[in-house]
Amino acid sequence: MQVSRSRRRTVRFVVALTLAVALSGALVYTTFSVASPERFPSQIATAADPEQTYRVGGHVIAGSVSRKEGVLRFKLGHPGTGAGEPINVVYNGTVPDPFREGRDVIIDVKQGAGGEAAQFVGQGNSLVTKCPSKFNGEPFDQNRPAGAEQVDGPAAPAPAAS
Amino acid sequence: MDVVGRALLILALGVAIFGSFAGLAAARGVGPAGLLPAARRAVFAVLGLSLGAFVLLEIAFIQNDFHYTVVAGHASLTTPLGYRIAAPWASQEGSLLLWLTLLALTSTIAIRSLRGRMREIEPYAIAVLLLLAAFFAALLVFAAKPFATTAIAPDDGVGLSPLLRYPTMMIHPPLLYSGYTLFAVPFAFGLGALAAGRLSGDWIVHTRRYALIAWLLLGTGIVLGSRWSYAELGWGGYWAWDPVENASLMPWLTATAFLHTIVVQERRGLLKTWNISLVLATGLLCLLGTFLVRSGILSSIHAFGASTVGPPFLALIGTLLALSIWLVIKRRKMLEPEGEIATLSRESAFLLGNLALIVLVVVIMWGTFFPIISEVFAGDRSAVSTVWFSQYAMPSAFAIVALSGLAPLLPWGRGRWGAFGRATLLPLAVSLVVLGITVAAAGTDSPAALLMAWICAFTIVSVGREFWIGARARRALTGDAPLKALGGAIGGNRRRYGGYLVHAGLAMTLLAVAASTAFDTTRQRPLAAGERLQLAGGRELEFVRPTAEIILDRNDRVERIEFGAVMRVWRDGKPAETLEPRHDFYPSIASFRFGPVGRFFEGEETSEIALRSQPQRDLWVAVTPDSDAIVARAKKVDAGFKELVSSQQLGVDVQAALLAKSLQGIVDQHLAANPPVIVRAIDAPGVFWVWIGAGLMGLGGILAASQASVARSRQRAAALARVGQELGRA
Repeated sequence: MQVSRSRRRTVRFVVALTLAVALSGALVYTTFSVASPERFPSQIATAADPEQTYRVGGHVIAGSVSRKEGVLRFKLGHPGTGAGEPINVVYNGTVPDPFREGRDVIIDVKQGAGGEAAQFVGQGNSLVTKCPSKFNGEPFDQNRPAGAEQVDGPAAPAPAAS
Repeated sequence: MDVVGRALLILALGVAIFGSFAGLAAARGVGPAGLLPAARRAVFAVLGLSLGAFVLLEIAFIQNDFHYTVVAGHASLTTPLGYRIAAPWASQEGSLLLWLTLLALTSTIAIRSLRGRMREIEPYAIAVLLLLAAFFAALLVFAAKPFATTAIAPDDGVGLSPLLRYPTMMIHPPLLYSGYTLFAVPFAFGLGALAAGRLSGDWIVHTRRYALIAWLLLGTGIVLGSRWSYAELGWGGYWAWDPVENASLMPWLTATAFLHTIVVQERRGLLKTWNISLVLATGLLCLLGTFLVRSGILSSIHAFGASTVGPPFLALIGTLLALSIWLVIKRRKMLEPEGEIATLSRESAFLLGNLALIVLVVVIMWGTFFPIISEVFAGDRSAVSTVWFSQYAMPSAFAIVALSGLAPLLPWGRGRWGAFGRATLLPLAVSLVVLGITVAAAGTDSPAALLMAWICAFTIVSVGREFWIGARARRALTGDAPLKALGGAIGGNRRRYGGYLVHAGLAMTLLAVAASTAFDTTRQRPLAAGERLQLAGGRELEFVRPTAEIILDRNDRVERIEFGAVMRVWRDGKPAETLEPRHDFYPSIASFRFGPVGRFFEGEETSEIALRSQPQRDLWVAVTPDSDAIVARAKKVDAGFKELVSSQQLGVDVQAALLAKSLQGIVDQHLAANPPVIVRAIDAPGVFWVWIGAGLMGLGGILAASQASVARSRQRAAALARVGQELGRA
């Protein structure tokens, strides 16, 4: 039996559409089931599901960073300001070079089992800081103390060291 | 100079708006005669004006003119000249200006090279190109102002981030922007062809080379960014599935799809709707990528900070998307195919490859925008991990590489199963042998990597077979030596063989990616002097001793302080080689915040890794000194330093000498203390071939781009044949 060209095209279209819908459905279902909720530190500081991994964006609070035996510990507050209730983060993965106190970072964390309250464990190598190419530069403080730059002088003729 | 710069940008905005309207009016046949030449001249004028503004900004950077906020934020007295030249595109303002300049340049080349062709499409294309130019000029005039100045110039600037002081980073952004802006040409001509109802294919021939060069430049930019990430950033990876990385990959993938099916349209008049949709999608994805970098809508390591340019970008993308869809629907009758695709044909392989590429784009887009999607539809913002991206991209990657090997074995038109089966015999046999060897060497723990090894081997042999067949046929005709025959075959059809090289390069790259991610070993732990870290293959890494050095710039200012380690690699119990990775500290300009000594340890830090890259495996080593101890020491010295300065009236020279002595003291104390360092070592097989494969793809792209079009080469071949016949008769 000869099938017309338009009918063949319709059949192909229906098959392709069915396949696309089925694949899309699978994609949507599986993604929602594995995705990590994005939270601010204060949102999980007091109410976190110990089984859940969270993606947290926050501000590394000044004076909170310490490194011992290759383990990094720091406090994370609200992005930009560090305000709000912070969380304590313990992290054993790769620390990006731009990581610093007073900067915004993103990290996947899970609440630590027992031990210190509101302590969160950084997952894998998930700690990222903003790419330096996209910093808008350290803001100039027009109100900085007059002559503050002069202390360390125009030149520091340090002798070479080995 | 700042006034001139601002004036140039305002003029560029005015001229672009005028030219866009003039182009549109000329296309619609309204208004006075001579509008089209005026629109053309507007394109050239925008180039002159934006280039002038860009040169002025470059001069400001070269001269360290800290009156400009953008210069003060991205250059400093210790930033070397080469990096000051590259510093403009580290800023939002400078990179937007570069975008505009490159867009004006590509628009000018595209319009000038028309030479009277496509009269109906040209005015629309000019209108679209100048609309884009006007948009970027408006951003530069009203939002991201490169010529903004401060009343009091600071003594020094912040400087270019030390992490960006890497040669490939000087050209990575311009290459990406060149790719993006070149894709604007096919986008504009595609919209123009739809608007004018001239869909014969001339516009495709004219813009194909732009698309190919854009594909090449964007791809090169992506690879250079990956290389920078691997060699300069202290994490040891080359791809992180970051939203902004994904944003640059998506248009590259749609362009890859387009560059294949465009051949089907040229040869058979098929897939017209598909092709125009891909062209328009590529152009829109380029704008989307730029939007993602600048809007801060998604959490990305690459996104610019708080910015106001997001909403205008979204409005532009939305408008152009709506226009594109409307025009494609309006012209659907003109885009009807002129035939059908046979099941077993090269066309069908191209189409399947296209589908795999588009599925990959959809997956990447879904994962990238999932935080927004989940917030809108589920009321809870969520994100997917890099593992999710890798897992979901894998099936498409398998299909793409497999089809890269199968397509060359299929003829155009309609193939025969018997012939196809015979053609696949050699690649199948060789790839199965490769699979067997891989299983014997690496075991069966990583089935996905083994499958990738098999498919990639198939593709590489399949492509190699095509080169061999081409050389053999050429040799039969000319009697040339094998190598000369191969060169002749390639030279006779550069587009075809360039494409094959790209296929082989892709297979090589993905094989290397699979090997390096499935079989790598990462070790990280603190090591005291004399301690060793076990590596793969019976090797060990010993921390011998720390190093430290103060590095001065040309004017004897402290540019950075290096803290490193001498590491010895032991192989089978014998010392094999010595590595010297470092961790550098760059000073912060904020001495009032951190103290005159402390500021040298409170600025940016960079890992200068030690890399031994060999065909078999890479050894990547980074070290981090105990920076807490160094900073604590610096703060202690600062306290004494301040006390001394306040108690005695010391001159600036004395203070500088004292500072130098203090810094040297910290360095000496560090060396004397011989503290442990945190060592991170990655032993990964095959990374070397990631770059070789990418280079091969680039070479293939250059080869393909050097041939204008199939139609033109056919015309040339026909002309040569006629000459041959004439000579034969004479």
